[in-house]
Amino acid sequence: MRRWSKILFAMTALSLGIQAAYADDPNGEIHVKGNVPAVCSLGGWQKQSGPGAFVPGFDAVATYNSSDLVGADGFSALGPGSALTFHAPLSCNTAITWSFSTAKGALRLDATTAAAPGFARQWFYDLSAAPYTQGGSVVGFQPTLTSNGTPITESFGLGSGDAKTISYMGIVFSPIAQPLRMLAGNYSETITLTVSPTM
Amino acid sequence: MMRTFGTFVFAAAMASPALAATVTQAQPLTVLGDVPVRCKMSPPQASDGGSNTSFSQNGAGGEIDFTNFVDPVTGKLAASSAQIAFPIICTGAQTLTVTTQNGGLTNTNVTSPSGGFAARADYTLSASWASTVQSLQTVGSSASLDLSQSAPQSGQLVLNFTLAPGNQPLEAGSYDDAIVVQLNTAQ
Repeated sequence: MRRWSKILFAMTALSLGIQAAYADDPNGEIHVKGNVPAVCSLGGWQKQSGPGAFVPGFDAVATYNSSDLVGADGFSALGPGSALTFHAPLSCNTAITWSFSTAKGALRLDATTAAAPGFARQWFYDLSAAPYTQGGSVVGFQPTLTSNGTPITESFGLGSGDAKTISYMGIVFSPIAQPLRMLAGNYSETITLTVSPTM
Repeated sequence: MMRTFGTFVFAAAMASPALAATVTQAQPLTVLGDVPVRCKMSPPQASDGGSNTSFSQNGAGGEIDFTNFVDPVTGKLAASSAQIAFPIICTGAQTLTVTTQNGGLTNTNVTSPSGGFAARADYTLSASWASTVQSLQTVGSSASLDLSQSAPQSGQLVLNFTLAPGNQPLEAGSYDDAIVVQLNTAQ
């Protein structure tokens, strides 16, 4: 009998201890909290159409073949038929601002070859950029520009409702025919897409 | 439980091909093109009347003919000249050479001239292209002028052919030489 009394006393003491531990939450609720940040997931560039070679990815490079650039007589062969189309997957859970910028404003000869009368050293181009839904519809703005040889940056904003419908960003680079012979050398232009989630 | 959730999130990030970020993402796309050197040379044309000569264009080349090659009485060379131009355009560096094949107007039927007669008529050939001018005097063997340029050029290669009056009569027969213009890209 004395042994049972000791056991009962010990159980009572343990029970009191448990009650004390839950005294701050009298309803017995447990709160679980999480925070989802405003986030955008931007995938690498993929070429959809156009001539030449392409290295896809986050720092993609599209290269025209020499035969795409000039004919046997040295005259420009680039034109609207040489347009390049690129997509980059984009998924955002919030409003965004997006922009594109051009490094030169022309597909231009890099070398310091002196300008020579009767020759051209750059191609201007038409550029359109826009976010698209999975079905291929433009979301918000679809700016287009004709380059003029100087760098340009254009920025746009999209509310959360629109931004969440975006499936990919699309860019179309369409060279403008050049009537002159092109100076020999390496030509380049860089277009940079920037996406920023906004709260 | 917390460790399990953390492991799941990490695995998802590794599997995604895209960059997910709460900050600005800038993604460049570079377009490149390498334009090769192209050169074009058009058929020659007489750029002035010359003297005692006529020029006829023939395909990509032509022919200089003498009105009076020699003095009909003495048989000695008569003074003659011709100026021929080749329109050329190159979009980059180029090699350009002008070569006389025989090194003079030569009567190939005469192996060893005798009796004070000559079987070769030497001439002066000068050529100008871009800012380069070069000339040679024929001496009986093939010789070349190098007018190569490291920059793109557009203009005319002008050849000046001058035959001085001779002091030695020539063997009878046909005399000829070929002046060959070679243009190539240099890249």
